[in-house]
Amino acid sequence: MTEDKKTNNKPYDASYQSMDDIPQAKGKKDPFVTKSWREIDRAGIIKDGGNSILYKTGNWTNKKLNFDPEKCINCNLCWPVCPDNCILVDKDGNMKGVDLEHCKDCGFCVEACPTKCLFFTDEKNKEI
Amino acid sequence: MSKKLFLNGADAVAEAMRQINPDVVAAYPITPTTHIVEKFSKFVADGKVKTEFVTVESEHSAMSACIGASASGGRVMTATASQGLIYMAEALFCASGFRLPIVLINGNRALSSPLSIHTDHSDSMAIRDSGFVQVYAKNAQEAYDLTIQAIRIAEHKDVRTPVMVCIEGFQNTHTLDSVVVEDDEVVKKFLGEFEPVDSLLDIDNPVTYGAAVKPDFFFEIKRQQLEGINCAYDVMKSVGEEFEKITGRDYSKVYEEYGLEDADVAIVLMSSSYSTALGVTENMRESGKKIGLLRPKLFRPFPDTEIVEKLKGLKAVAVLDRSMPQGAKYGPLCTEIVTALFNVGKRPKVYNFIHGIGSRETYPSHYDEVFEFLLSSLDEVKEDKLRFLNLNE
Repeated sequence: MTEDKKTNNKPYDASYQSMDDIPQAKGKKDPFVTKSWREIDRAGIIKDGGNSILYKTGNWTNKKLNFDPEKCINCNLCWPVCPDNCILVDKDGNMKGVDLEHCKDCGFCVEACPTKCLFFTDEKNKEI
Repeated sequence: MSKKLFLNGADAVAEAMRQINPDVVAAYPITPTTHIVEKFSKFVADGKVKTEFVTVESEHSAMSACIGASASGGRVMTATASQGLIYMAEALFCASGFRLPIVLINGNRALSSPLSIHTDHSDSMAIRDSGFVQVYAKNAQEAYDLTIQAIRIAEHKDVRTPVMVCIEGFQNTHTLDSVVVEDDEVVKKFLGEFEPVDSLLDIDNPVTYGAAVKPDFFFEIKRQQLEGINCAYDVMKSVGEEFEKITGRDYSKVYEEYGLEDADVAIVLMSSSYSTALGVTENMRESGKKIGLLRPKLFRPFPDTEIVEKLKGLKAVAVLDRSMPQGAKYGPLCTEIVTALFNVGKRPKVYNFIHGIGSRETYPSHYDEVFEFLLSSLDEVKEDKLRFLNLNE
């Protein structure tokens, strides 16, 4: 782990803190809480669309993605290449950080970043 | 008014399908069920049904089209046999896993190789754990009746599982028989209005079929599926009782029996062989022999409790399997029965005979032979091994 104090290892602060903060999840039951076979929807049919955000995949990683805001030039080249919408950009196009709860360390953003402000460190992502 | 017609089994099934008037039929022709779909496609062409008939390029596509149509909220049927059923195998497991109430008519036929178009149960037995409810008809009348009841069983809210109606190729499909065909309105009323569940075309309530499921849920979904197929056991009886009320034909039980109440020994078999065996049993009982006969109509879910109840008081039982158990100790029917009897305190000795493979005839003399074998086994226990009827040794 780098000792760089500037490194942002936490998920973006303005990110959701609970399910109620996720617009798609409002009013829906969490389908990923372990339930009895008597209670789950028949045949694995999914009745609530757009719920993949509720499934946290951040612990699938072997490496941890880090973001250095000092080096970032807000080019936004990382944003379109992320398959999991983990690049957090605000309404004005300012890069705010990465969503480590869903990042699967594919590395597309690391490749795309011209200033190397996105980089991996060799440790398990412990955010999840 | 119901009417008595001179029909073969396949035409009787086609007649049932006309009365059911399914939304979609997707099928590919294969002997011996070709003329089920052939006759049904004529009904479609003549405007006697409102069915969308999908001609597909293979059985795999037939079942896949049925899955799509059923998930989209249609009442769906198909027919196949033998190689076609095995070619469908991958999609069969999807249909039952999705809990789609598809009704499939299977004309039991031997599997290649060597190539045979004649009957035995090796096709439906090969996919017996595909999650389909399996019922076996003994004649054209039962094929007609069970096809209609299969719709109700499959669509029952607790079951929601596809049903396979097995009729024996040629023995049933091509043999003329007198069949009582119920009135169209009576059948329509019995079936009721089809109500789609979790339909893909219900755009106000969107659903996803076929998402990948990881270890956290897969086990639970499969357990749920097991509950669905097991419910078919009670539902078949209640649907049968209702059917009996309107037709007068006995469908209150998932098996048929003869002479078991005072028998010492009995034969257990399925499908059309029952009729021949019944004649033999009646004759032999007249000469004072304490013998009986049992024919399970329902094979999946296996009605083990009732079978045990019927057999546990006997001294010896011969199970006649009509499929080759390559590498197994017993045939599939015998395996089920031995398993069901295993934990019963006092149980009969069970012997397994293989018969009728590739339509090898089983003559009345062979049933005589089996009953004599069973009666003599009461004095001297016979060797526990697989036996074959009418095989050139």
